[in-house]
Amino acid sequence: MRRRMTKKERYDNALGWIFITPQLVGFILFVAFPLVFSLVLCFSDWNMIDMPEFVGWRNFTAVFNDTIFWKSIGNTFIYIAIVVPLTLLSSLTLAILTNRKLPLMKFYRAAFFLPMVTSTVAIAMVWMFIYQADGGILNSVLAVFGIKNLPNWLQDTVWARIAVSVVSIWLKVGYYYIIFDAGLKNIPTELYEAADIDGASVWRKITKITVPMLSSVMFFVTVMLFIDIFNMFNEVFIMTAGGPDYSTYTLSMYIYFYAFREFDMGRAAVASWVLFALVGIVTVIQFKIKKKVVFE
Amino acid sequence: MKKLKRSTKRKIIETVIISVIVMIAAVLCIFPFYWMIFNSIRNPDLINQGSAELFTTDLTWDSYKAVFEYGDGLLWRAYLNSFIIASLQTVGTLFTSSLAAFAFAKIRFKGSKPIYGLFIATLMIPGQVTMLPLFMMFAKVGWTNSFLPLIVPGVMINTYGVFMLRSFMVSIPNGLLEAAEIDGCGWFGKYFKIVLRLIKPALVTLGLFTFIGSWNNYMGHLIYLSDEKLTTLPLLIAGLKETHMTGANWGRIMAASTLSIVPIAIVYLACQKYFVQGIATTGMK
Amino acid sequence: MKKFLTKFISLCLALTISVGLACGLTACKDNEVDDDGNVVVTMSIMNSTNENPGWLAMIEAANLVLERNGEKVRIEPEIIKTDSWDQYYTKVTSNILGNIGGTIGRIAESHIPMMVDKRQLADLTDIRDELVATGEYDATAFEGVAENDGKYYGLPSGTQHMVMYYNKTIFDQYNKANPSDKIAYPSSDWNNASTFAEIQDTAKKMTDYYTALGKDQKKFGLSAGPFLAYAGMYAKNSGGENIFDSNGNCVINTKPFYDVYDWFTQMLVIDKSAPSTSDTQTLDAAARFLGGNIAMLIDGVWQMHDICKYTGDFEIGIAAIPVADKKYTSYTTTFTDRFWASRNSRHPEADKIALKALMSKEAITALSSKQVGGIPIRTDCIDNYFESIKGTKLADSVETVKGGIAYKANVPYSTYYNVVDQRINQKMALWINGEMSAKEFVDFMHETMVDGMEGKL
Repeated sequence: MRRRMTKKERYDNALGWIFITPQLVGFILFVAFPLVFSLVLCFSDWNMIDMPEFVGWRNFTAVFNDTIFWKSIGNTFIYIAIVVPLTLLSSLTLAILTNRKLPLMKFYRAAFFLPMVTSTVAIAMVWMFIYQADGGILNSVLAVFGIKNLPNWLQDTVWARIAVSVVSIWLKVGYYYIIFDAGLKNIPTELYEAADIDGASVWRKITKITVPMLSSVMFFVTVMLFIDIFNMFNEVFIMTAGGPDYSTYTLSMYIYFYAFREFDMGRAAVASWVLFALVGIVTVIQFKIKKKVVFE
Repeated sequence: MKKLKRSTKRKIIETVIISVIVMIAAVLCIFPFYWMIFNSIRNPDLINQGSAELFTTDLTWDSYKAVFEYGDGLLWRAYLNSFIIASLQTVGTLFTSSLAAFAFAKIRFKGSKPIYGLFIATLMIPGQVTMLPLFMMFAKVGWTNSFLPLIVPGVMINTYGVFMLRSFMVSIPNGLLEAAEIDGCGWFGKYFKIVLRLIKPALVTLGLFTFIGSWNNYMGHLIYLSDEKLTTLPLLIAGLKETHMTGANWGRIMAASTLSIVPIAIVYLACQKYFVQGIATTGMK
Repeated sequence: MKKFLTKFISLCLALTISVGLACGLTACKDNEVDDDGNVVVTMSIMNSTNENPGWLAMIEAANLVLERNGEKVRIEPEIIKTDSWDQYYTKVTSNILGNIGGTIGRIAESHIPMMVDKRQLADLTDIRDELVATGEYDATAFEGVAENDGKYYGLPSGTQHMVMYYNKTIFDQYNKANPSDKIAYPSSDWNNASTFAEIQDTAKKMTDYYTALGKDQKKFGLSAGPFLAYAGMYAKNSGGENIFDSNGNCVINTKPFYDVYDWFTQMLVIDKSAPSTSDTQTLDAAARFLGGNIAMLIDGVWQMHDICKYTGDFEIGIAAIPVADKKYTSYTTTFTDRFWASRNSRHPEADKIALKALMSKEAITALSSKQVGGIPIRTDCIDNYFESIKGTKLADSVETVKGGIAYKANVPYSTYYNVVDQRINQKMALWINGEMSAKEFVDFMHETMVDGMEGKL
């Protein structure tokens, strides 16, 4: 009996490894190796034709002394402060509102999902067009409602961030809507029925039942949103190119600029490792908080 | 009786108010698509004059004609190439990541936990970190100017896919697999006959996401593809954007964008049911 | 039926896979030698529907020269479809590093110093020496950015200077409606150019007049980019230096620069008689100009090609770049785009032979007769270039354009120039929004340039 078990175990062991081999090889070749390689690049000056030259901490000092670098990190956190709560709030609200029988339900759902299945590059251009100061549809519509003295959305240091954030939220809402919607369907209806008998208000039901029951889903959504924002690139790159005055610049764009415009590999590698470290730290903190907050 | 009436009345009012709010949200979601399509058929001169009415009867197919005629029908080649890259990557990634996900979810083997942890950690790695070293690697191997660097890494590593499919597979009851084992199914049998069928929604979702990601990948296509024969849709759209005096560019860009989005939108609407199921399970675990 | 569908789908997939692999793999193969045993040299060209015919004609002519000389080399164009010079540079550089695509090509002057610094380019000193020694070329066009440590890396493909295009019809309309307050056309004499004050006044009057006529009549008086590349030219026209003084010190924080940016502030911020960068985002200034939306446009001779072909109702003239005061000569920013060869190439000798053929009289004539590539660098092709313009709407302006050649102001490109330029452009919105005064903006330009020189960026 014992021997047979070990044989099965051995078989399982081998098979498990065989099953993960393709992904594991890919992981080593296309993730682990490039990561180590870029770590080496952090300490070298390389034109990619001749041999790399060791330069010590020079790339690090260049990056850390760069005000634009710090500004792009600051922007990332501003985006987080705007996009994470608003995406959470809007997708959760929509999920709660549609968690009942409504006419045209199919249409609504199709509409919410549409933004996430399209090309960010193409749609960012459309948004740019919408935001245009002179002749943009947004300003024209607002003018109809008598709102005058409108800002030049993408050219104003404050509004540009908000304009880009709106597009970012717009792109993400559908995905998180689905997740919240599924989460809501998992909450036992008995809980609400009991609350109804107690005569609880709608608001009370949301804060005392819905939100706590959804806490683990909310946690997942928050983690994913943070990662999304650390990677934010396309919408900014196309709509504002990081401007005005680097107010919408992200770390991803900083890396892109030094890697594929300046071809300064060392500096790009340092910045990418900073980004990697930031994402790592934030995720660890989130999991630490999770233990305390999330209701399982 | 009266009380019941009042409550139905209240319910109707509630439904109306909620419908209005949800409708506004839906319109906001759709509007940019409307604007894109509308501008692709609107007279390009109107765009250039900066006129911003919501509808006009001054419509024309000129922008589409320009896109179809661009570079001697380059559009068809771009469609074909984009399709080849995206479909190969999708098929490949579905296979490898479902295999790995199956192993992580259902097979007990040594090292499964730490390796899965490692995989999940790479979910956080921003694409920019590895983009450059990967480019250099492929350049040295001589894979630049072919589809390989755009397909192979996507097939060989897809942490999001493994993560998503695993969370779906975990929910498959073990009893089902045990029953199959009694019927004489090996691990391969279980994988092909049971698991793959049950995780169809997740496969569709992952497939769609992979396909869209590849279909829209501008940066990758820009740096790896050089030959005109290898043009893809994102490159074609960028090519249309060239700064050039004749002005009517916006109409053409909108037309090309519409053309590039339409196939995906159709596929998505066709398999929306699976899609929703697929994503919904991701958040659960 | 269902079975059939499954079969059909799997068949489709199998087909795609094989087709895909076939395409991907054949593309891997390098076509470096053609059927006749010639080495094929690929040349990268920036895609631009209007200019492509010119470059293709040039390559065709160069191939004929190669054939005549019995060289076993042929040039094959590779049109790179990108939307900006920046992206073109990304593409060209990654091609050089990845050893694909063009081993020779054309690039904007601004990117040469970076490419030289990263040692991506082949040494072309011997070709330069050979060409200049013949005395048939404009020797000044060879000077500048392509030289480093006594070696030479980029052959000029033509020089392109700035001029002021103006729409005569709009001026005439205005004068007809305001007989008591007529505005003269701007001066086309480089030694007696219109002044900043005159142009500003004209722009304001035009803008005010046409805006008052209604929204669809709205026009801008002048379009001119307040960019770093042109700052030196305007400063020189105000009696200042072109960014650096003769000792190599940055002199942006001097009066001429402050004056120039005050002038721009007046038009862009106060009068709004010039379109801002966001106005030209969806439709660029040149397109607006030809659409009759802008009365005066300061832009490069690269626009000549389209304006020559223009068949609309407007009459168009060309004037000299304005100056601060009549006592100053008018200078004009001149760009000299370059031909380069990759240092990573597998056939460096063939690349050089190909480049030499591109510099031949036949090739340059083919290019310039299509009014592409700017003013030819071969002296005997210049007349031919201007002759080709004489049959067009710009016939009267030939002398003005020709006159500008003598008043070159080169942009001081360097390895740090692009970073400096990006940082300044990012700040520009603050100044145009009115959050920053012209003086603060100019001081920022100065500081950024100094930081760049000191390697702090």
